[in-house]
Amino acid sequence: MKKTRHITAFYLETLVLICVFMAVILILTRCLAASKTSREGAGQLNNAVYLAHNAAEAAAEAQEPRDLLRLLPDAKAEAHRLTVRYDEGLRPDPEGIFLLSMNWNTSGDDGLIPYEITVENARSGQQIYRLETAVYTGRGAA
Amino acid sequence: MNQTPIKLGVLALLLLVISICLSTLGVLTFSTAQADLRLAQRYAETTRQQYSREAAGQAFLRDADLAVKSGKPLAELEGVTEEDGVYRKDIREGNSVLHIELRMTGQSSFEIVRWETGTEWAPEENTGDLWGG
Repeated sequence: MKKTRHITAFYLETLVLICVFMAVILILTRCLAASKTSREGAGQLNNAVYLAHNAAEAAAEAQEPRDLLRLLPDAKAEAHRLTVRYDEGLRPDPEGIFLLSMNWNTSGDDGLIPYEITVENARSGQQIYRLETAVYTGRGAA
Repeated sequence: MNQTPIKLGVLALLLLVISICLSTLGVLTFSTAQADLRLAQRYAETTRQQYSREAAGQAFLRDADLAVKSGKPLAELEGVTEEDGVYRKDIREGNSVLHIELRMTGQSSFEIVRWETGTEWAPEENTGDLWGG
């Protein structure tokens, strides 16, 4: 009788230990999965900001939108729009994961060109970052 | 009736130590990843604000250019102050300010003498029991 009770206690203890350990592993798995998602999101956002920042500097340097192709030779130009794709190492790549789009509006004749720069995930189509800037090209100042 | 005591064996202790180690590792990984994400979001917001100020500065240049070409004094533009012939405009967004200073070089032309981003710093009001000197 006493031996049976001992065996039952042993099994019960082992069961509880296994349950606790499995719970720890499950929580840890979810924790690590969430960390991976956060880390990937942070990496993508950093890269997207970096690309948008570069594009904004190119816009400031180009002064005129038609000069942008000189600074971004891998870009595909359309009317009032320019697109470039970059890989994960931020090198221009026609099949790259990041799609950088620059849209501008030259309808105003006051010389101020507003730019909208977006970076999206080319595979999922999800927008990662959006930046707005403007360049005044009509200054006749000294 | 005698109760059989449940004793923790060596295996149980080992599992407990492993569980604690894994939990600590998980919490550290998670908090580091969250900190990375927060930092990236902060960088993204700072960059957005920087170019928003830049766009406002460029719009101010347009307004200034139109004003001088039409013979309107720069000091009449919104938010512009004049001191010793230098027209100053500050564009604030977030914690930073874009300082723009223009100087007239002729009847209808001006030059940019300052285009600088700075951070606004305000001394803390309550410094506790620090000796004021």
